[in-house]
Formats: sequence, C-alpha cells, structure tokens
Amino acid sequence: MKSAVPLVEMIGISKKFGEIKALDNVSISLQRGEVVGLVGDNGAGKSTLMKILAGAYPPTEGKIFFEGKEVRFSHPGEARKLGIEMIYQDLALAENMDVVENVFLGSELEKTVLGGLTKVIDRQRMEREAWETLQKLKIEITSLNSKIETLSGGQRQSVAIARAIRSNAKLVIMDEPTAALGISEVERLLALVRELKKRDITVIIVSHRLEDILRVGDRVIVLRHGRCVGNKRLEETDADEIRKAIIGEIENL
Amino acid sequence: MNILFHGAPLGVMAIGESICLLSGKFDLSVGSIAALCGSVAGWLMVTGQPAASGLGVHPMFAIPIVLLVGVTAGLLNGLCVGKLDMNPLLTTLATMFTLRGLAIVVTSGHTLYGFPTWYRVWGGGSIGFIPIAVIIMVSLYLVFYFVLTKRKFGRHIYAVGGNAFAARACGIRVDKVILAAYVLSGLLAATAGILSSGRLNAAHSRGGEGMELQAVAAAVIGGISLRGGRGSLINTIAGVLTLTTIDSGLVILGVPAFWVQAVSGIVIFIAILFDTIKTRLMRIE
Repeated sequence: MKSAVPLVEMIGISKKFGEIKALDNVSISLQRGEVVGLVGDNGAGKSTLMKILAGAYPPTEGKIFFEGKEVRFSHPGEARKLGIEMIYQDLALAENMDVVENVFLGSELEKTVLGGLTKVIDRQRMEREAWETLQKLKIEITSLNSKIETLSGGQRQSVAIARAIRSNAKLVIMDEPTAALGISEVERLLALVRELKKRDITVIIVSHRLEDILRVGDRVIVLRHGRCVGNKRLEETDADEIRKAIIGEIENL
Repeated sequence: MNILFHGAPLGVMAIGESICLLSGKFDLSVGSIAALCGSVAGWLMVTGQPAASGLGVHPMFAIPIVLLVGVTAGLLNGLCVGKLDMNPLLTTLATMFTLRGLAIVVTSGHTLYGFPTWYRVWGGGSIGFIPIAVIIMVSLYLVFYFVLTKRKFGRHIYAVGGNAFAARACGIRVDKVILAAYVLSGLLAATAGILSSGRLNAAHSRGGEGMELQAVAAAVIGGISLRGGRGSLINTIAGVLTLTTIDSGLVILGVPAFWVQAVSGIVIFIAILFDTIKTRLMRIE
C-alpha cells in the first residue's frame, strides 16, 4: 500500500493473566493513514491487545515492530514518545484541570526564567498551540480555561483527541469512542477521524458499534476468545458476515 | 505576629500535608516525624543528660542529619504508597506509631532540653521584631506555591491527584510523583520539628501529638479537597491561622485548657464535613 514497511506490526502476541489466556498468538499489521476497526465481543481481548500496543501492559509472548524497528514498552510514556496515543473509553482526562492543561498533560511546555535559574510552565505558548490544534481539527470549545468537569461528553472527547494529535501522533487508538456520545456528537467524531486520516495518521477504533466502523473504516479485524479470526478490507465483507465472525457462527472471516 | 510565630511549625508541616493531599494521598505520620526529628536533634546535641548521646554535635552537622531523618521517613512512606500501592491511610498510620516509638527509644522516654544557640535560633530567634520561624514559614509557602502553580512537577501533583489513571496514561510517572510528595512531606515535617523543639528548647517523644490531624485540618479549612487535585496551597496558611487562633483564643477567653483539644477536634470535624458537602454538591451539579 502506501509504504512497504507497515507502521505497526504485532506478531504472535499472547497475554496471560494468571491462568487466563486473554490473547493467543495474535498478529496484526497497520499501514499509515489507515482506519481500522477492531471488533469482538466482550472479553475477546480487544482492550488487552490495544493496551499492549499503547505500553500499558507488556505482552507475555510476541513482538511489536514500529516503523520496522522492534520496540518494547515498559510504560505508556515510551509508546507516546514514538507517536502511539491511546484515547481511553473514560477519556483519561484530569477533570480538576482545564482544557489547555489536559491537551498538554504529561508533555507540558516549559520556558526558563530569571536568567536560566529555573524553568516554569509556558502557559502562553501552551494556550496558543492548544488553540491551533483545536482549530486545525475544527473542534469548537468555548474556553480554553474551562475545567474539564464543566464540559460535555463530546467536548471531553475532543480534548482527548486534541491531546493525541498535538503530540504528533502517528497512531491513534480509540477505545469505544462513541459509547458515551449523542448522535450529533458521533457525527462530529467520525468527521474528526476522517480529518486524522487526511493527515496520514493511522486510527484504530475499538468498538461494539459496527455501523460506525463501516462508515469510516478501511479494514476490520475481528477477535474472538483472544484469537484473531478475521482481517478483511471492508469492501470485501459486510456487517452480517462480521457479526457472524464475532459470535462464532462462522469460524473465520 | 504572635499567632504566626506560634503557628509556624504547624504551618510548615501543613505545606507537606497539603502537597500529599493534592496528590490524592494522605500523610498521618507527620506529627511523629516531627517528634522523632526533635528527639534525634536532642540526642545528638544535648550534653549532660543521661538520655542524650553526650556527643554534643554541632548544629551545623546535626540539622542536616535531622532533615535526612525526615526525608528517610518520607521515602519509606512514599515507597510503600507510591511504588507498592499500599493504602495511604493505614500505611502512614503504621509509620505514625513506629516513628513515635522510635522517638521514645531515642529519648529513653525523657525530655531532652538545653539545645545549643545555633539550633534554637531557627525556632525561637528573631531578626528585628520578625521571628525567624515566621520568615522560614512564609518563604516556604511562597516557594511551594510557586512550585505547585508554575512548575511542571507541581502541575503533575495536581494531575495525579485529579486522575491518576489519566496521568499515567499520559506518561507521567505517577509512582515517582507520589514518592516525591511524601519525601517533601517528611522533609517539611522535620523542619517543623526543628522549629518547634528549637522554640521550646526541649524535645520529647510526645511532641507534635495530634499535629498530623491539625495539618490535615488546616489544609482542608484552606479549601484543599480530601479527594485530591483541588485547592490552593496559599489558602492553607489561612487554615493554620484559624486553628492557631482558636488554640490561643480559647486560652485568652479563659476556657479551661482541658477543652482545647475537644474544640480543635470539632473544628477539624466541621472542616471535613464541609469538604464532603462541597464534593457532593459538585457531583449533583
């Protein structure tokens, strides 16, 4: 496709929690600018697989290649540094802090003051850059100084996405992004996903809602009982077939 | 000025407690750390008493050692809570008992008195009419207010207290932030111990009893939330002044000294009640 080396390759990933095998020899690969739907029933291992990719857990077995190089993450910060951003279902925002601080959470900009004596947070630059990011993504937020706890679900999602994009993400993982959104907010989110694709950012959407994936996705990957049972371009399949693969009516998609 | 002077040890201790609370944790061991530090200081420096070491260590060396004791205690709390994810309340309750126990060991249960001048001056001396302890306290408030509002580390304290999961997902090393909060709490409690034993020119193992709750109360009265991440350090000083005023006010009003503890307890209770109501109202909204 776009380049010979895929952005991400996960090969033979297994994960055990004690005796429970959450993932069993799963291999996937993702191209740049691709929108991939990751689907499966509850407990199929979707979240576990994504958390491994985002550096929240180490895999029990298997290898991860990012831009052709093997990587190992001991905490999410390392995955972030490479450009892998995960947007969690519960959004992972600090509700006690404002929009700007959340957009820059964990990667605050600093400036030296008092003739190099000490570093402080560079609030002005952060506000400017946060504003630019939100503009770029056509996100409307009333005030950059609003505390997150005063924002709606859709606005919170926008802040979480803005954070992912601002740090030059190459891969954005969205965990159940539409679960808490109203209908018009879902539309805005899907538009946002297309906007990301235009910027050659790879997006993985983990979702129960097939309709969302069918509308914006290029490809679908199906997990069942910790195994990869389907990996197809969307034009080669349909909702009914995917559903059957999810529940096991057909063995493989 | 008098109230500021009397409130200085509590004020310094409350800075550390506020930092812990802002990070979403709790430190009940600060009173014991102060007692242990005062006791160690006495053991090192006091001469002519059987309970002391008789070494007569110069304050120039004794003070850093004492501060190091506070840091070590904070490190212990921080490792347990930050790295091992132990319950902060019970962990610091355990260290509260242990450290006070160590203070008894160090002093053999006696009161050590007669500190050298260069130790007493920090807690009891003044420059002109301004007590040095007040200068130290106010400077520490300014420094830590700056750190909490303007520095990356300070903002990470708020982030961890607000949503530790989010902070971790964004690559903030939550365990290290919590560890640092406890180390600062230990260091500031040690400073409080130096100020208070210096002012009294005496140290004993029961010093600073109940101060940990007063420190929590001062922070909560100042508006720092018990659920973390919310509030401003600069208001903690108002909490300290309130509690110190009540303490000395009751004495001035002629209320028998037996009542002071009960009244302080009630004030703390009310502060926590208000914090809870505030939290509830926010949730309903």
